[in-house]
This record gives sequence, structure tokens and C-alpha cells, in this order.
Amino acid sequence: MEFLNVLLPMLFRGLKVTLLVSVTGIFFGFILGSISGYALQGKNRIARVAANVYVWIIRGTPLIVQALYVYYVVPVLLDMNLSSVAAGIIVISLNSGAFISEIVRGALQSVDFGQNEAGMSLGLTDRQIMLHLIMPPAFRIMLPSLFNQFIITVKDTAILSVIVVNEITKEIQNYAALSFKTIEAYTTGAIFYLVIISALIIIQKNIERKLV
Amino acid sequence: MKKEMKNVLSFIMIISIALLSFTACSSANEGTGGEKKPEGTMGVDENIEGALEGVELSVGTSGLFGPFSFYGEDGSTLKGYDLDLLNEMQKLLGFTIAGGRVEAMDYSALTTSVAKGKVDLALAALCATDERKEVMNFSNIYYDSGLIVSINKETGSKDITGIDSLKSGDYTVAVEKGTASHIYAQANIPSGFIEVHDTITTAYESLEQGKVDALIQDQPGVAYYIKTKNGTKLKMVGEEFNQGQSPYAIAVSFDASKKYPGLMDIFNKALKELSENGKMDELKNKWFE
Repeated sequence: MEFLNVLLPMLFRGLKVTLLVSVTGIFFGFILGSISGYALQGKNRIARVAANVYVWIIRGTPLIVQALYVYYVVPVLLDMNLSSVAAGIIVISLNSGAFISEIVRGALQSVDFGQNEAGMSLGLTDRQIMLHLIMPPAFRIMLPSLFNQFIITVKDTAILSVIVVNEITKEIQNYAALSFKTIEAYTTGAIFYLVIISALIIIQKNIERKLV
Repeated sequence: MKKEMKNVLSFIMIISIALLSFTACSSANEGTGGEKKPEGTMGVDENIEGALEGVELSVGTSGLFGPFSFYGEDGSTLKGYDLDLLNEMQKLLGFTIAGGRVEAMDYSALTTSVAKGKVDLALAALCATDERKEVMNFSNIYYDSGLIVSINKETGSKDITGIDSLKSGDYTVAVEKGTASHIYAQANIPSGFIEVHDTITTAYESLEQGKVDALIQDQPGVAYYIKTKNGTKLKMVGEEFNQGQSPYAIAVSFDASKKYPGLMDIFNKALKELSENGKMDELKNKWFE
């Protein structure tokens, strides 16, 4: 198993990039998704339409096409330079943001109307009700789904290999291409992802237990 | 605690199954056995016409390397120097192509397929590098070549004068996955500065857009791209290098060589004959005026 001496360092190198892009991406995705999710269930019609269009475009195109577009087309249209990692973070943010907006919208709408009623009977403004009575429980409701989206995002970063982001999948492919050891490369790579994702799932189960 | 135990147990099961597949698969690659001789002559005589009559071979190419192997205007017909050479070899030796057509795939897939015996031969401006020779056979060289550095005329740094400028790790370099350029770059350029593209198309595009500082590819391929691409910003710099590892040969899988002993010999004699009877020169004139 001495191929591991060459392959494992490559995979760990890729892991750093995978984590950088997924954590940063989901962070911005959460901000974007929260704004969008709020807009989706809010009263402002323009905001609602805008959010709907955003979600529609992201859901309607494959992630790999989004990645190629952001990396190769957007820089030309806007006459700017975009590195692979920057493009990758943007794509992940936009992509996870759309799915998070649905999570946020659902969570906000699922908070028991009793909260609104209590707030109104206390004479609180709409804004105060939202900020103090709706968002806190909504946040607790959306945490498991948010973490689930994070796990999905970590796997999605594999697609970014096509815009030459040197994450785990890219390292697997590079190794396979140079050594011809395809079975070793792809099996080790799959197990590598499995171990990481499994660790994340265990963390998720712990979070869920603490919330119940 | 029970849920976590179940998780851990199934996790261990999956790992064990995966590890077992290692041992199963590595032994399956040995011994294709059976020395099957095709009908017709396989003897030592000099006349190789029809020597592979009745033999069926699967052939792969890339379609990614003009003028050796690329797609015509319609986007689906493969053409080029290598396709014509294959044709001439077929006319001379009499073998048939499995499935009636040459399979096209990117370089990494192509070399891996030959290495694993999934494809019997490959013609795609393939460089007979040492790394590849360990996993496949190569015929004699039929076309001379070397690698070359290209930069962007407009955004490229004036300091890049050749391959030596790139070895210090000051510039990002794009290469195509699985090619001799990739192998060379991996060994000579710091890994943080190499961009490995699945196909040469995105590598060229990255250089055109100035996303990378330089690109390494075989000289004939770049020359053809620059000649045919309207408004290209690419230009070649410096001398050709790596000529020892770069000239083109026909790749033949170990499996096919074992199945038809003497196959390499026959191919080499065919290449020699095509060279002697002027066919090679005809092809060179056709594709490289």
C-alpha cells in the first residue's frame, strides 16, 4: 500500500481547499439565503419576486454549468479577473444560498402563530415580533437542515475540479492520471470523502440530540 | 449510544468491503493467458501485407489534438494525421477496428484505457514517455516532436523566455491532464503553480483570458491551434524541450501484445514500409504544408 505515501498527502492538501471553499461558501450562502428566505415569506412584493427568480435560476441549472459560467463567462462579461478559488466560493455561495433560502422560509413560516399573537397582545411592532419572537425559534428549527446543507455543500465542492480548484477530487484525478493506478486512486478517494462526511454526520446527530 | 454503534459498525463494514475490492481487482489484471494466433501469416517473413487479416483491434484516440486527431466542421467526424495513418496501416495489414469506429476520449482516459487493456491501440499524437512505457508498449516513433511553452501576447510576462523561466515557481502554468506536458510539469514545476485541465480546450481558454501565465503543450498541437484560431492571443516562446520523451508513437496495450505475439514487430515493419514507400511523406505534406 505504498501508493498511499504519495496519495494521502495529496488528499490532505486537497482537503484544506475543500474545507476552505465549503466553509466560506456556506457562510456567505447562509447570509444570502437568510435575506432571500426572509424575502420569500415577506410582504415586499419586489423582494419576493427577486428572491423567487434567484432560486429559480439556481435550481434550474446544474452546479457544474454554474461553475463553468462563473469562472469562464462572468469575468469576460464584467471584464475582470477571477481566480479558481474565488469563483468556487462564489458558486458555492450562490448555490447553497438558494437552497438555504427555502430552509429559512420554511422555518420562519413554521413558527407557531401563537408567537405572533403573543407579541401583538403585548403591543410589539412587527419588527420586534420578528426579531425577538420569530427568528430565535426559527433558527433552532433550521439548524439540522442547515447542517445537512453543509454536508451537501462539502460534496458539491467536488464539481469545482472542472474549474481547476485543487480540492480532493482534483487531487484524486491528478494522481490517477500520472500513476495509472486508477483503482487505488478512486477507492482511496471515495473512502477519504466517506470518513470526512461520516464525521460530519456524527456531529450533526449530536447537534440534533441537544436540540430535542 | 445504540445509533452511534450502528453507524460505526456499518462504517467498518464499508471499509472492509472496499479493502477487499483492492485485492480482488489487482489479481484480475494478471494473466489474460491464451496465445491466440490470428489466421493468416504471423511468421518471420518480410512480407507483412495482410499479416493481421482477421484480427480485430479496438482503437482509441483523443480528438483533442489538431492536426493529428481532431473533429471536422460537423463536430462529429474524426480526422487528422493519425486517423489517416491508422487507415494506411489497416490497408496494409488487414485488421479490422472493433465496433467499426475509433473511440475518442480525453488523454487521461485514453492512456489509462490502454494501460488497463480496455483499448488495444491508441493513436493520438502520444508521446512515448518513460512513465507510459511502464504500462504499455510503444511502436517506433513515427513523428518527431517536442514540448513548448506558450504565453499570452498581451498579458504575458516578458520574462518568460522558455521552460527554464517556469521552473522557479514564479508563474502559473496550465497543462492538459494525462499528457507528456503534465508529466513534465509535475516533475519540474512546483505543484502549487500547475493548473491541470481536463482538456486542452479549457487550458487554451485560460491562457487566452490571462488566467494563467503560461501553458505547456506539444509543439505541433500549439502551432496548429495558433494557425487556425482566429484572433488568438497565444504565442510560443523559447526552444522545444523534452524531445527525448516527446516524439509520437503508437501505443499498444500489454494485453493485446500478449494476445498477438509479434504484434509490435508487425506494426514497426508496417511503419517502416509506409515510410519507405512514400506514404508518410504524403501524410506530412497533407497535414503540414
